[in-house]
Amino acid sequence: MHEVNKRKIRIERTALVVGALILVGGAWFWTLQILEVLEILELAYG
Amino acid sequence: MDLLFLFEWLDQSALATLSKANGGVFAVVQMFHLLAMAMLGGMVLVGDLRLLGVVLRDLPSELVLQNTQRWFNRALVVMVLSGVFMSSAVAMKLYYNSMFWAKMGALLVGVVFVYAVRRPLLNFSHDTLDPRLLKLVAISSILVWFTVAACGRWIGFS
Amino acid sequence: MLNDWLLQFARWLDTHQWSTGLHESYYMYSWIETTHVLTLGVFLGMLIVIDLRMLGYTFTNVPASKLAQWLDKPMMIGFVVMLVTGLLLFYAIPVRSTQSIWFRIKVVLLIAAGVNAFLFRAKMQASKGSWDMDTKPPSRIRRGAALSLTLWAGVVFTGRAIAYDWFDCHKPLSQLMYWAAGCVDELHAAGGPG
Repeated sequence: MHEVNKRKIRIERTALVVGALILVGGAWFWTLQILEVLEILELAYG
Repeated sequence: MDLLFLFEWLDQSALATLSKANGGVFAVVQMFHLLAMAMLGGMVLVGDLRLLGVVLRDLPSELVLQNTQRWFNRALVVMVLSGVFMSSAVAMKLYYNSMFWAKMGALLVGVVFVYAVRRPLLNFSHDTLDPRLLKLVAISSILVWFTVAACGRWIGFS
Repeated sequence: MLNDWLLQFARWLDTHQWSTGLHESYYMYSWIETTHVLTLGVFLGMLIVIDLRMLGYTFTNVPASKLAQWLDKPMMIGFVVMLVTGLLLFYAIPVRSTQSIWFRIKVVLLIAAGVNAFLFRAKMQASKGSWDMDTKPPSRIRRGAALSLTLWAGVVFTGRAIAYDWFDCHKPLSQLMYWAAGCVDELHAAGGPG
């Protein structure tokens, strides 16, 4: 039981960290994409 | 680590001879890639939207996840196999395509996330897990697979 | 005759400024197309889950009609998004789409899939409850689900094929293909019936 709990806590922590990293990484990636598009549009029309 | 040799090898492989010679075969494989994408997307969404409490609220989330995981695996296998075939036709082009690498990066993250984090976590009774953690996992999962798919479509545009 | 009308309509759409604008706007067009393709994961994804249940391959311990009912809303949201983006894609390139044999087959398959869905729903309503908990629903239900999957797969196949120019009007095609694809001018030039 003790072992299972330890494993559970470890996986919960990993999920928290990896999930948060994906959110941050995803937000960073898509912000970059949008900025790039805006820059190109500004070069073309601005 | 430079993976150029891998693409040069793929470009010269027997698979490439087949995929380059026949545009019709390539198109058909691509269509299976799309169909598998629909299946994978459906399985991801049904599972994650359940975790978010959006769909199938009358069913236990454990049951929803169990039922979607097997078909997710199958869809992923079809996608990878058809993806490798398609890649062989344009291997050298892909090597220099940044969207392709964005997609491969997201795919790697997605696969590790599903099999090393999401599944082991969701094997525990969901009642005993923090609901906020479940929602975080669901949103990350949707985000990462959306990124894989969107980058995949964008390979063709860029 | 019908081919002439369709072409006239497409040419009229083509004169719209918005149509040209959409076609020439690289990002707008690309994102509409990406949305159209990615929403497959929502619409077709939900449909696959429902049809796999009807075939007895997943969610076997869940009432079939309930599952269909619960997933109906997200599926229809996906469908509406696909329809709107699809219409926009057609609006951006009306003439070529109208004269695409793939687009034409796709529309026919869409109608067939719609009719099948309607009949399926009626069948399901009529026999509601009698097989809901069956792991494997009766064969008429399974046939309907298999047909639904086949028709939608056909819609995806033909939809993707529109992008290929194998049978475009400017290619040398048979009279039958000119007629089927609605290549009115080419058909006239080849001396065939209008």
